[in-house]
Amino acid sequence: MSHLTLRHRLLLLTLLPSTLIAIVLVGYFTYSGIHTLEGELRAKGMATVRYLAPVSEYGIIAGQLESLHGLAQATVQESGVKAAVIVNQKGRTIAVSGRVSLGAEELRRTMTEPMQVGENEHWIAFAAPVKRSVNESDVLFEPGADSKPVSPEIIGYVFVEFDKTELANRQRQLLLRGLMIVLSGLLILAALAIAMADNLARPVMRLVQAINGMSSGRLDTRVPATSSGEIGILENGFNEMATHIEEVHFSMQSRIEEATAQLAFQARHDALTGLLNRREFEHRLEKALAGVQAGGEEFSVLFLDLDRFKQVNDNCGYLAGDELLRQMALLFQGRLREEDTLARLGGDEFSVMLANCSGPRANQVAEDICGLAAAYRFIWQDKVFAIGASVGLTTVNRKVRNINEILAAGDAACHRAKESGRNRVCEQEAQLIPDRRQETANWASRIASALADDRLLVEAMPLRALQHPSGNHLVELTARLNEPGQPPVTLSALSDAAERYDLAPAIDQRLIETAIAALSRAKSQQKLLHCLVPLSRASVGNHETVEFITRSLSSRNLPGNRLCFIFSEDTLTLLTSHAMEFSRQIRALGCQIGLDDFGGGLSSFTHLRSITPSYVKLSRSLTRELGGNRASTALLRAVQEITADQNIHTIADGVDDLDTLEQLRSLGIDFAEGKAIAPSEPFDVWLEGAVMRSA
Amino acid sequence: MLRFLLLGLISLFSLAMPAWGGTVALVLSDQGSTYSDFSGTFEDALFGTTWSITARHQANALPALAGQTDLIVTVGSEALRKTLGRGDSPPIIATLLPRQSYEKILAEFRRPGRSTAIYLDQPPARQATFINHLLPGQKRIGMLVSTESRNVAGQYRQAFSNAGLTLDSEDADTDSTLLPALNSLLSRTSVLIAVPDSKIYHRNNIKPILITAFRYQRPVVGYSPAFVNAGALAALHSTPAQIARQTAEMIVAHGTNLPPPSGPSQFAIAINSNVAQSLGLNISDEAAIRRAMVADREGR
Repeated sequence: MSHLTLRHRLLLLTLLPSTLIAIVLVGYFTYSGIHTLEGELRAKGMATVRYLAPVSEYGIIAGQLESLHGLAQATVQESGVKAAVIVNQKGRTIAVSGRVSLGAEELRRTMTEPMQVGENEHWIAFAAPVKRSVNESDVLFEPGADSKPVSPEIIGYVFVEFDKTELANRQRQLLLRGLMIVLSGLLILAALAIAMADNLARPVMRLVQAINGMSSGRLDTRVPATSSGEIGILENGFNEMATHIEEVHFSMQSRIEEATAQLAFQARHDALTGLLNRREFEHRLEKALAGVQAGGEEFSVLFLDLDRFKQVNDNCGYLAGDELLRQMALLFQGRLREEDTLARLGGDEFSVMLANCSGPRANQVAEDICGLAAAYRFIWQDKVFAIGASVGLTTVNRKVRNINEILAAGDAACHRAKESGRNRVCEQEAQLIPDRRQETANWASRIASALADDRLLVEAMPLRALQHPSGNHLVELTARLNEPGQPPVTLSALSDAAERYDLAPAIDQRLIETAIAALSRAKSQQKLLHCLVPLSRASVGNHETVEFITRSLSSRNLPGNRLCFIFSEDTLTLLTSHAMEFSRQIRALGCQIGLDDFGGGLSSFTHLRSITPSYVKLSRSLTRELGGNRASTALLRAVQEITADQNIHTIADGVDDLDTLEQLRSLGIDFAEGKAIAPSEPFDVWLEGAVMRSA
Repeated sequence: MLRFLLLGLISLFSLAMPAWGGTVALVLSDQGSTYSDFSGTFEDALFGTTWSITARHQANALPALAGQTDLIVTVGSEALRKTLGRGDSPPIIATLLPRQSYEKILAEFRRPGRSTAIYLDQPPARQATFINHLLPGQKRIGMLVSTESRNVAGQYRQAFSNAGLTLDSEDADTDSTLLPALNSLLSRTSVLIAVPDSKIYHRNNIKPILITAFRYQRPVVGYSPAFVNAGALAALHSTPAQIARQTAEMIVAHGTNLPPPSGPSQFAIAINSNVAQSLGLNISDEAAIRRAMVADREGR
């Protein structure tokens, strides 16, 4: 039953019981009809002999054989009668008609009532006694006969045989008719049942097919909703469901495509500026190089590194840096042609592919861009930043083997431009770089190896007290990376990479060690030395720094009061709680705190209260244009008043000329450093020369 | 004629006798209506006479009657047989029985005298008159006779020839010879007259006889209403009431001096009009025939 389909089950359920009932009913009626026919024949036979017997009486009594023959013949004329025999009392046949099948023995039988005397499959015989009819007796004339009722005398017998072939025929006919009725009834029933089953099963089968279609992925499958009732509800429900699934599927599909396109775009573009990213740029560069190698025109590639980007980032936060990058991208894009390709390689590095452009024209474009960057002023909140760009230029000709050569040459040129004083253009031929530096990729190893080989040169930046000159030697420590065959790298150029590769604390420790060693030495000679040590953001956030300082001081048995640690204002902004904790611990050691880049933003003044530094290094934006700008002067004077009020010493750095120095002095700035005071020199040299030999 | 004379003498003699009376006991063969009719009429007829009925008995419960009664009237053959079976008894008047039976019973008991009878058999002369009035023009009359009725056949032949009729008879002593005899008789005669004969006319035979006669289209004149009902054209008979009255008259007239047996003095006529119709006969009604017969006798 379980492996049958719905249609088969319906057919079985409808046909089986009705078939059984039909067969049983027709069988019953046919059987009873056959029996009725037989009963009819028997009744007819009995009736025939019952009538024939009295009719024959007189003939027997009177011995009228002719009339008896006539009777027998008349009987045989009756339908179905095969033979009629009349015998007398002694069993002798006196009249016969038809072909008699009864034997002589049977004809000699005696009986008192009509009965059936024989039967086989072809015939059936009945017999009845012929009784002498008795008159009402006349008691007066027949004395003695009245009282006792005598059974009437039997004077003969009649036998009638019936042919059963007709009966058999009728029975067969009845049976055939019954079978015909069953068959035709079953045919009609089967047709009805099939129609019914189809009517019921077809919608279900359509649903099944539709579900198969759906599950095999044909989402546009629908069923015709033609049925009524529950099936109709199912069909409508299925269609709604299918529509829903299809819609969801397609919207999902379109979303996936959108997302894919977005991803593809993002994979090739820089999210911040919308320019091509490094990967895509390299890819296009590769194509362009292939074009050149295939005989195309030479082209040039510019590598731009923004000057003072870090300053903006550090002072105003990443949001400002991001905005700067966006503005610079727009600026460069505006200068370039349609066919030129501008990309941001990462950080503040941009690159331009100048199609079909080389030689003096490329150089001109590079100079233009450099000039644009130099002339640009980035304004963030209340601050104005001068931005510049160091541009490396390299020309791509068919001698270039791969893009790495181009990248390396461009990078080297850019680096050279930066090293040689920023905001300029340097050119480098790609294939002529035998040992090129991998730019950021090997900063880590360079710094690490420099530290290990003691190639990090610690330098001194002496400070001069502008208001109350004293014998006190104030110096700020700085560092420079010295590599053989390379121009030295300043600490400010190093710090980006150092911070990025977590090497800044190592450099800081080196500076701390040097400072403490110098203090120890100065103390032994009773010289007054005051060291300002700049700390990177990582060192401020790291509690090991304090432990290191403590350890170093106690190992040389020194008090901390001649040490001042300087960290930048944006470190304080970004790591406020760390910085406060750090300053508290440092102050507990007796050391002092200095804030670098002070006055760049208005938040600087709130820091004075939370940190209470001993020194602040004034931001260059305050000291830059002291000569003509009265607003800057006023601002500087205000800062000076506030710091002076809180007993904080102000330091102006980068003082390169005596005019500025004089203005600073008149404004009341406490200390100054720069070329106008003393050029930076190696710390050891300075210590031996300036401190040890002083009086 | 001599007999009538004798009868007349006896009657006169009895009338001359001074009136005397006695008791009568009735013995009935059965309780049927025939017998109660007889009994009732008989009692009515004796009422007011010096004779009275002292007892009524059933033939099958008959007490000793000797010395109890002056006269016994038996009704039916069985009553006579039983009464005689009691042995010594008063004088007996046997009624409602055929002459044949009376003679047979008497012969059985060999008891002469002291008994008389009023037969059911109609006198042959009356039968002849009846046939003449019933079927005028039919002259050849057939009769089946057996050993029992052969002696009356002579009387009939005499009486019929007196009435201008010819009697033709055929012997039919056994059942096997009955129908052949009848066939041959019927082919010769135009009417079959049946006289009481227990060998020929019994209930098994009456139907074949009547059917055979009918096949020959011959009317049958029977001797009882039952015969007429069975299919005879007509019958001359006496009713139990008529016999009872005749018996009462006889007792009143003769007392215990019994006269010889006689036939019925009164008669009735029964006609089966259906049979008449079937045979295509135009028959006068019973009353007319009776009137004609009575007129004929008185006229003679």
